[in-house]
Amino acid sequence: MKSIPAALTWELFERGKWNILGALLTGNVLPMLLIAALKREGAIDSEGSSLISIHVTTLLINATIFGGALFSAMGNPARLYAFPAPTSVIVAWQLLPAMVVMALACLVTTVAFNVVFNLDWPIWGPALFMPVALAACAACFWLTEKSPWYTLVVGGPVAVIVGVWFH
Amino acid sequence: MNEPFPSSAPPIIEVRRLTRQFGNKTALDDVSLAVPRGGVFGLIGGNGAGKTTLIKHILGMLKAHTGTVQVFGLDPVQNPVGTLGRIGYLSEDRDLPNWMRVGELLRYTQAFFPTWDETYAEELRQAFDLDAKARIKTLSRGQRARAGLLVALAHRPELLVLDEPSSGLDPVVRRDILGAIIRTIADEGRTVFFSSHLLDEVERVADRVAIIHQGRVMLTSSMDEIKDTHRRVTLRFGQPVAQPPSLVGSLSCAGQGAEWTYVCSGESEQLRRAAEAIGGTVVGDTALTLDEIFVSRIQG
Repeated sequence: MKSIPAALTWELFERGKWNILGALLTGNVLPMLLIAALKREGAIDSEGSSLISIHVTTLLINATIFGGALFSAMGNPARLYAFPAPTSVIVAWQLLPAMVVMALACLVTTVAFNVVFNLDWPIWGPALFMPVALAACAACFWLTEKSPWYTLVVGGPVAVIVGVWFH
Repeated sequence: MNEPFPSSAPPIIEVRRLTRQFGNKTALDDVSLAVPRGGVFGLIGGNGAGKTTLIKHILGMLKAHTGTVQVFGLDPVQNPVGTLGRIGYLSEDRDLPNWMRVGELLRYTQAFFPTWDETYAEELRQAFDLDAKARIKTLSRGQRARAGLLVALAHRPELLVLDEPSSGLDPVVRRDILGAIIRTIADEGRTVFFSSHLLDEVERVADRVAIIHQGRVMLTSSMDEIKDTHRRVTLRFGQPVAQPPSLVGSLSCAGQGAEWTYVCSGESEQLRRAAEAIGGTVVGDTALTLDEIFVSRIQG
C-alpha cells in the first residue's frame, strides 16, 4: 500500500468484511421476513401510518446493526498515534470509507425493500442521515473515550441534534 | 559511528523541566534530559517510575503540562509528521493488529512511512524468522516483539525508541538479535533510546544512561563516567566503631567493628582522600555493576 487513505480503507474492509456482511444480512433478512409475513396476512395498510412505523423501525434496526459493525471495523484510532500522519488525515480516512459504506448500505437496503415489497420508501434521506449519524457517534466516542462524564456532556447534545434530524 | 560520541551536534531529544500529572499522581516531576545524537541511550527505572510516560511525551502522544519536549529540534505534539516520520517506535505492549498477517502488517505500515525500505524489511523478516503468512495473533510473545521491531526498523529511522524491548524475549534473542540491532543502528550514526529494567542489558549496549525513579531523573551520565564515579570501598579504622563515620559521597554502608564497606559516588582518588580524612584506610576498592549503582541510588 502506497498511501495512508489506501491503507486505512483496506484496513476497514479487511478487518470488518465478515461483520459488515453479517450486519447487512441480519439487518435486512429479519425485517424482510416480518414484512413478508405481515403482507401475506394483509396486516399492512400500504396507505396508512403503519408502513411509516415499519420503515422507521427497519431503519433503526439497520443503522444499529450496521453502524456497530462499521464502528468495530474502524477500530480505535489510538493505534495510529505513533504513525507520522496528520490528525486530520487519520480522522478523515477513518470516517470517510465507513460513511460511504453506510450510505451505500442504506441505498441498497431501501431499494431492495422498495423492489421486493413494491414500496415507495424515500432513498436519499436515510442514505444521507445514517453516515452523518455514524460520523457523529464515532467522533463523540473518540473525543470522550477517556471519560464517561465527557461522553454524557458531549454525547447528549449530539444525540439531541441527530434525533431531531431523524424525527 | 560516523561521529564521535557523544556528538557535538544538538541533542536529538531535549526535555526541559517536564512535569506531568495524572489526577493526584505525579508521573513526571521536573524532568530534564538531553539525548545526544548517535549512540545508545538507556533509560532505566523500576515499574511505574515514569519511563513509558516520558517516552509518550517524546513521541507526542502526551502533551507536557509544564516544561518542553523537543525531538530533532521540533515539538512532537505540534509537528507529529516531522518527528514521527524519523522515529521507529516499539511499544511495551506491542500493540500490533492481531487480525493482520505479518506480510499485511508490513504493507500496511509501509503506507505511513515514505522512507520505507522494502528490501531491508524483507531481510529483517527473514532474519527474524517470521512467516509472512502467519497471523499476528498466532505469534508468540517473542515473535510479536520481533514483528514490532521489524516495522520499527524498516523505514531506517534516525531515532529508534524502544519501550522495554526485551519484554517477552528469551535471553538468546535478547542478546543475539536485539543487542546486535541496537549496536548496528548506533554504529551507523543513528540514535537508540530505550527503556529497560534489565540492567545487565543496558550495561551491555548503552553508551549513556539515565536513572528515573518516582518520576524524577536521579542521574544521567555516560556509562563509563557512571562506572568510574561509583565505587565500593572497604575502609579499615584503627579501632572498632559502633557507627561508621560519614564518608563524603556515601550512598550506603554496611559492616561491623573496624571494617566497613561503603557504596559511594566519587572517583577512587577522591574517596581515598575522604577516607583518610575520617581516619580510615582503604583496603578494598572495586567498581560497581549498573545493577548495584541503580539499587544504591534508588535506596539512597
